[in-house]
Amino acid sequence: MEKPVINILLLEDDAVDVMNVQRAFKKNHIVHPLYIAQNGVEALAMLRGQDSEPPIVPSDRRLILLDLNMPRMGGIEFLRELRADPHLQSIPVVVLTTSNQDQDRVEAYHLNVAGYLLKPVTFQSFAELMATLNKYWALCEML
Amino acid sequence: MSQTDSQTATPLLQSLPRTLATAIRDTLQLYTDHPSSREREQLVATLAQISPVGIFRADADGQVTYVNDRWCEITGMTLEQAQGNWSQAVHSEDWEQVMAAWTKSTQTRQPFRQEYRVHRADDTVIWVLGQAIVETDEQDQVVGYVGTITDITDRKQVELALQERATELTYVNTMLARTTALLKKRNQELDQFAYVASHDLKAPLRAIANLSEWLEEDLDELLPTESRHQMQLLRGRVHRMEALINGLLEYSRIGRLEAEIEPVDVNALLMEVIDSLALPPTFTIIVGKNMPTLKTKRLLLGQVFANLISNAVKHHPHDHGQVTISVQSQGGHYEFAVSDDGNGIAPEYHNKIFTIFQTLEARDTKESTGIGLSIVKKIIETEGGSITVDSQVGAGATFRFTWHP
Repeated sequence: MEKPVINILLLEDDAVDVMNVQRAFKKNHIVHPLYIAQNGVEALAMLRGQDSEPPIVPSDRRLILLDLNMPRMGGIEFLRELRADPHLQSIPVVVLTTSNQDQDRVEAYHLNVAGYLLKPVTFQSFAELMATLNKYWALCEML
Repeated sequence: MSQTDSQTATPLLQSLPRTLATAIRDTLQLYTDHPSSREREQLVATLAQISPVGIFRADADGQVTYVNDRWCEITGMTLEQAQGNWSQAVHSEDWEQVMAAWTKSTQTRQPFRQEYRVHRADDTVIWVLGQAIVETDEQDQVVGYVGTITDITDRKQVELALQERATELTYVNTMLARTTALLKKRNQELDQFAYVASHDLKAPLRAIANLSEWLEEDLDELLPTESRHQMQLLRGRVHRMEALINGLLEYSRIGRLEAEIEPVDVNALLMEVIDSLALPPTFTIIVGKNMPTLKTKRLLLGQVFANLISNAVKHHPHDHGQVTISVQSQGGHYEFAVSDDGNGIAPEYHNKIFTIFQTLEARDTKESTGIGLSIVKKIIETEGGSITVDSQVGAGATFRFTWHP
């Protein structure tokens, strides 16, 4: 039986970091659709849909990978918006960041993130991290 | 003069120099013994003349009836002027206070005692101590006042100078406190800067390393061996830069890190450090037997040893060698020495090696950022010690540092 897809939205402003995720997916043969937003404003639009159009990211089985340092609307700010929206508040969010500041970590968990991961330095470790993440979410029953 | 008078005079006498007080007491005695003696008048006159203080006498209305020469000298007034109005010599700024005290003394019959300025006829200003007591008759009626005036300008000047110094000191202290606060703020800024710099500088580096790896992966067989080598060099530089950033961050943290003071068994600490360095087994590390146990910042002392020992091994010309750690107690503090049997360092480089980012070898030959020794030096100096190197080319090197528990 084929595994059901997970609609993954990646919030990342750095093109190389986006490639990093894409390559890690490819390397691990992860075929889930990957949607990309460069900041929080863009991401919210992709999740909510605009002008009675259906949202770009399908509204079931959603997972958000979130970078914290982004222009226009940063990660924490985006999380606040997300948790305040009754239609979006239950989407699981995994933080993927280089920031090891205590304050960011505490705030993120206050906003109910499903995980807080530090971007590893080498691609090899990053690819392994993505594989683990994929396995974990394949086990989870999603909304 | 009656017995009561000599008793009334006692507080005044106590404030006079001992010899003078004795002389006056003798005179008073003479008065009592020989109430009509000519001798006594002469003695009083002589006494008044040699007295270092000005003496005056006034009647019940406060009118001056007598002043001695010294009184005229101090105030710059004649007897006639004093008889007119003695208070005119009191400095205008002190006049009110003196008058209030004088009025109070006459009303309460308590001794008068005031320090004030006198504005003399020659326009000079001096400080004086004026004292007076009430004279009464048998019916306890006020008959007049007798008092002294002492020039205290010298003492006042010292007092004023002292006060000025105190004010100055307070000012300097305030400045110092302000500077300290500013320094603290600057340090915090530096801390923030170091964090941001390290974070933001490392992100593009990681991207460069990743991109080069992907290029290599994607081109695979298409990439000539030379280009492949260049890709590796590229990544080597990236990793060195990352190490530099980390080192810089570590350097900037020293002194702001709140290390805990605890009893440290240096021998055990060394064993721990050596174990954590995972040195090649071909190197022998000899630790002196007399390592002390001292109360100090364990983390920092460990960091110093780790850097010095790993340096000795890292820069060793052979893949085998020996590092010796010894200690000498020097009264209040200890002098530790870390010696190796490596190539040694020429004396002209002895200062240079402690400077940040200085290495003596081409950077490609050793995995070295040139931060290690500057970190060591900064730690030791922050903790109040000093470090020196003793070395000749070809004769190994000994790093000696003092450590205050």
